[in-house]
Amino acid sequence: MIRALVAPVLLGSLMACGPVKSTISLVDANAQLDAARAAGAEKQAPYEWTAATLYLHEAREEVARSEYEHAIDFANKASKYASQARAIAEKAPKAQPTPDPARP
Amino acid sequence: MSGRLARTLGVLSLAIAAGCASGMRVRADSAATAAKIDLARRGDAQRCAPRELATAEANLDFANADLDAGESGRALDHLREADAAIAKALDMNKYCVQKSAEPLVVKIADGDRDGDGIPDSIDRCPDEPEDFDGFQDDDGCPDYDNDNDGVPDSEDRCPNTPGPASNAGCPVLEELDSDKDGVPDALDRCPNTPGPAENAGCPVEYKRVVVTQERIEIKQQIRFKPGSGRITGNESLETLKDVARALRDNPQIKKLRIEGHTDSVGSAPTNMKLSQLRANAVKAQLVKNGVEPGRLEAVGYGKTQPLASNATSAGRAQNRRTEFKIVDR
Repeated sequence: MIRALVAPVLLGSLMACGPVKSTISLVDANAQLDAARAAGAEKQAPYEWTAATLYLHEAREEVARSEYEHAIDFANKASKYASQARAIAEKAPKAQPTPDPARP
Repeated sequence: MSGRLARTLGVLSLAIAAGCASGMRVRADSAATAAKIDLARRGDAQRCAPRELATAEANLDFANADLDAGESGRALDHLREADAAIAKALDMNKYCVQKSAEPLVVKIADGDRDGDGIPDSIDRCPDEPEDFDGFQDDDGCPDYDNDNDGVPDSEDRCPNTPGPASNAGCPVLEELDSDKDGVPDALDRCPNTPGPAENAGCPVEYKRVVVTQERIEIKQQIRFKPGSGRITGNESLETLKDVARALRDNPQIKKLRIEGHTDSVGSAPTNMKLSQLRANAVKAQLVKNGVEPGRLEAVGYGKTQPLASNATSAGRAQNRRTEFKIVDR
């Protein structure tokens, strides 16, 4: 009886691993992005900020498609870029905004 | 039934082939997009078109992930987005103001003729490489004799402390010669046993004698013609050769006393005279073997200092003897 229960419980735990991990990664990426936004990264580190938001968006899409491995990978990249963006923004002089890139 | 199966398989194969072809085409497109991204990046797109560059790179990454998952349709969508973004970035690059160029500073390289890594401008010996031996290595000059004691560093066992060549360039510290053999303890492999410098301060193994702190012990007694001072037997002569060799090897022995002793047979004056005669004969033989006479003194003690009882022949044989005592070193 007990043996019969062990296998499904283990299988269930393994199946739950992806969603749990991806959720944790997403929460972490969200927090990093919020911190970066608060530091003014959107203007001060446009490259890193854009990458972070795109990766976070795609991570959510992958979760929706149950592609947890990709979701975790993209969420981690989102965290990394958000962290870089925040660091750049915090180092940048506040009174001197970065020049807008030239447009045609 | 079999015809339907064949058709199904045919359709399936076509679908798989089409899918593969599509996947391969998308992969080729992905490589082309990656090349454009690389071009844009080298054109300073991260500064001129950061959002566009990030969009292109991220979408290329998404496309590759989709391709790995076998989702070529979705990969194509991401690739289109990446293409559009990178095209925009390349366009923006053209209109982006160049970064102010760094002022061109022409540096004239400082020469280093001797190649020792110390520029000639601060090298006191620009044509001689520094030896980097841990002694004044900043001046660029090699130091062949760090302690200026006249002993080249290559032969100096104490290169940074002056000392005579006789002591391998190390300072002579009298108090540090425990066995007083003239070899300082620092260089003496046997600091508590006398020995010549040639033997690193260790005693030389002689066949017939042993040098101790107090005496030169002979392993076999010197034999004399009865009642006379004439040395007999090759063994006796060989023993005396070893005594002479030991004296030469141990110049710290300044004075050696040759003691002649007899048994109690005969009168005291006769024995005294005989023992002196024999001590003199031994001294003469040592001088003949190259020992300076000034380092030797011959003393006859007669029967005054017996080692054993004269009542037995064995005791008397023990008392008839020649001893070599170091009296000054």
